[in-house]
Amino acid sequence: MKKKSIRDKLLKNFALFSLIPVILFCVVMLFYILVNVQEKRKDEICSTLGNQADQIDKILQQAYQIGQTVADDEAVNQILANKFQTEQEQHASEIKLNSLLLGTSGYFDGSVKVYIIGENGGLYKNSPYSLKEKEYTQEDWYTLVKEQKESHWFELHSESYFAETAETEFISLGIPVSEARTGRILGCVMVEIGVSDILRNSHYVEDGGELYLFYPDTKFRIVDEKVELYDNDRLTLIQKDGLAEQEEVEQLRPEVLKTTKLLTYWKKDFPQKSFGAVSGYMTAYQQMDVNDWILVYFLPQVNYYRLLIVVVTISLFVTALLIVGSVYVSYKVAGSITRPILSLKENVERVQEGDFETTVTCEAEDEIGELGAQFNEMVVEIRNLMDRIRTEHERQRHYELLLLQAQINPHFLYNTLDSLMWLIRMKNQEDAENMLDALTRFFKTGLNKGSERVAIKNEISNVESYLTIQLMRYKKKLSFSISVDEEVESYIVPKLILQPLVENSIYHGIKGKDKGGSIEIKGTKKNGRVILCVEDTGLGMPPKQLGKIQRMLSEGIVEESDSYGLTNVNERLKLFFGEGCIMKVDSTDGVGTKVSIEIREECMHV
Amino acid sequence: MKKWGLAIIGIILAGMTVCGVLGKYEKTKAEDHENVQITVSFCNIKNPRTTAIWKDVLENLDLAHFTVEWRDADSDMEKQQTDIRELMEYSPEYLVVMPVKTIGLEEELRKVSETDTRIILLDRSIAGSNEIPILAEIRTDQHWEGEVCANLLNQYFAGREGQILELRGESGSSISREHSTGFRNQLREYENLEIKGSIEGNGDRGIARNNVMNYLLNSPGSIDAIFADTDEDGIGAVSALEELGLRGQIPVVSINGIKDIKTAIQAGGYLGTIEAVPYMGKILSELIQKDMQGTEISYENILHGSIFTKENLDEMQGY
Repeated sequence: MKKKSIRDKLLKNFALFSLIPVILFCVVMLFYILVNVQEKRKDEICSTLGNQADQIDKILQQAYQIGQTVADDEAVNQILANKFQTEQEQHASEIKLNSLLLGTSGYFDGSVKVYIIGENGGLYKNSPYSLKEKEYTQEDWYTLVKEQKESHWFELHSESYFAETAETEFISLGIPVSEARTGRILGCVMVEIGVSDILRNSHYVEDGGELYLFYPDTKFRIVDEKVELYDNDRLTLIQKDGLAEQEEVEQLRPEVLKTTKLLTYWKKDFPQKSFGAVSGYMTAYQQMDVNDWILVYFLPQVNYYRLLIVVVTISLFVTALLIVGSVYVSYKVAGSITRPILSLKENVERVQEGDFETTVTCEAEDEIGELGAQFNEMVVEIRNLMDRIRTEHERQRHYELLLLQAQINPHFLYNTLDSLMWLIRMKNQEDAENMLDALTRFFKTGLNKGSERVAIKNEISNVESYLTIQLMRYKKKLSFSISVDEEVESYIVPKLILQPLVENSIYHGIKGKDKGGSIEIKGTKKNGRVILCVEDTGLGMPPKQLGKIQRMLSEGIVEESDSYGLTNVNERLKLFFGEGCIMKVDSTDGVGTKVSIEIREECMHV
Repeated sequence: MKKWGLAIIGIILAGMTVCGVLGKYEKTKAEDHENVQITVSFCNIKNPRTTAIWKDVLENLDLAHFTVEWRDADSDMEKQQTDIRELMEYSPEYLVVMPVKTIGLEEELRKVSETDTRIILLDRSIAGSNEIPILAEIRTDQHWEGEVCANLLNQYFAGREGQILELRGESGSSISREHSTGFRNQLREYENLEIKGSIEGNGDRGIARNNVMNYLLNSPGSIDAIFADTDEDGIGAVSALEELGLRGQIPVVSINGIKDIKTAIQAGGYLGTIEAVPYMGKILSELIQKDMQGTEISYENILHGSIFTKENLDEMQGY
């Protein structure tokens, strides 16, 4: 099973729980902006355009009514029908009709100017501006109205047909004045309306959109007895610094012409106003009532969605930043948690490999820091324990070595070999063989193939060999008996624990006694303890000496002295069995000494 | 981690740069104004005279290849104050002002005078011009124009007694004040003539027509002539007289010299007009060029027009 690191788990969880809210938030915000901001934008555009269209509609309606009223006025008819005899008469008529027109000016919008051109040369106006010097009856617009004999709306034009003025956008309406009786055209009423204030909107410029006035051609013509829609739509672009007419628009904005083709006003269900995306433009339009013209606002979609694009860009950037931030924070946090754990893991591995010098450095003040500190304590403890064991081991080895060295005591060896030699000289071959055999066994069991542990029976064998040799030397003074229960023979003990005791019994107990003595070696099990006992009937020791020896044994002192063997054995037993083993020495001066080794059975192994 | 940290810092800096550029772009788009050499604040462009001044000034400045920005205050003093503030955003070398009224622009012009922009008054004066450093004034001799009107009426009445109705022009303008002062001062010389009444025309033929009509309906036969501050007022007066059938009985005299007055004089009943020359563009252009070259210029630049009556009407071109 593939292992998953804590860091990866933490990273995934952190990232997940921080990213989801961020992404959700961004989506909700985008949706909100799309719905509200863009919707408001759309409403604003439609509202502005609608207001403009309504204002134009209202003023054109007014202009039409005024124009029609003036054209139908009897006084106007009379003056236009007049043939002036003198210039003064003409000028007088101008004063008269101008006064009349001035009198009615208060009833309509100041941007509406009325001009009357008579076939008889009369020129009349309600405008304060001076008239341009020209033959008005020769103008194209005059000729058109005169020939059509019906009212005609003239497209947006940047100069007044009549006056020098700072106004820059006009819509004109020409209404013929005809004699009621004959129908003869007497002249023309031109109503000129300044629409700059209505059309100019700085918001459009800022937005990068363009306003057009679209003049759909709603005329029909009959060709080959079929009715055809006369498709001569035209439009004017209202630019920042003037107007661009159809021909100029064809060059500047051919794509707009394609778009305006979609204003299918001739369809039965053509809505009077609408807003929508058409060919890369957001298009708002409103048709006017008075003359079916359509006010159209084109805004490139990029500009329309600019706010959204900016918001999306910023949102994406912020989201990316938040994601990066989240990942970074997640990484940092996960790292701060897992780094000490990983360090701990590495140190555990090092300890596993045997490096007990390693320590965990963890500055965290949390549970992981505590764990690190406890780990360090544990490693120190292990190190100390191992040092202790090593030291004890070394000491044990040292003591064994010493004991072995003691065993291979030159005196003992010399005396034994000397005894052997005498036996050989005495031609006591059997005794010599026995002694040599015992010596061999003694050293063999003592060395024990280098192992520091022996079964009790092997230890007894070693002691028995030793005693066999000593018996041949001290046969008159020494006797021994060995009694070991079978059930304790297999228990493992450190080697050379009985021989030194027996040696002490011989050299410090029996050898100095005239009558000699005996050594009894016992091995029993009693009350959950394995008891090995070496008791002699030698000289014993005075209480003072006994006390000293007992103190040395209890304090674990090993020193080069007569009691070295005893303390050496005691120390080795302590090293082997710990507190589960005690050595007791009991002695009566002049009677004998008993050394007991008591080992708790649970510390024993076979 | 260092790489990560650097990457994050890089992204943050990039983002801030993008936002900063976007913001600056928006701000620059909204507020960017190229510096222009001359800005002009017109009081209005709604009658033949002010329109002629506007046209002449812009044409001549364009001929001299100056960069120009202008505004029309539409006879609104508050708008003119705003216009001047907007025009100063272009950091012009010269600000040409045609004040709507004598009083109301002191604060704005004082601020302008604290910059390097030089102020030129066109066609009209302001009160307190002593306290504001004005480079030059270009106008007609409005005082003289008023005096001549009085002389014309005196000639007409030839010693007979005459009650004059004064039709005041634009309220608060220096032109109206000067015309009236000149007329009244001169009229004092003629004991047979006196001002019977003074009503407002406000430089608008419609207002003038209505007010004259009201006056005549309320005080029929009380006046013998009308002095109109401007031709616009005069046209309004003539319209009222026409409607009341009094044209030709009560002569009108006015100041400006527009084409409609030529028609009115030709039609009869209009005594005459004193031309107030609107063609100030060339003088303005030359004055500025001289000043730019360091040549000394005169503070007052006065234009004199002609007097037109029926006798010399052929000489009148009008505007």
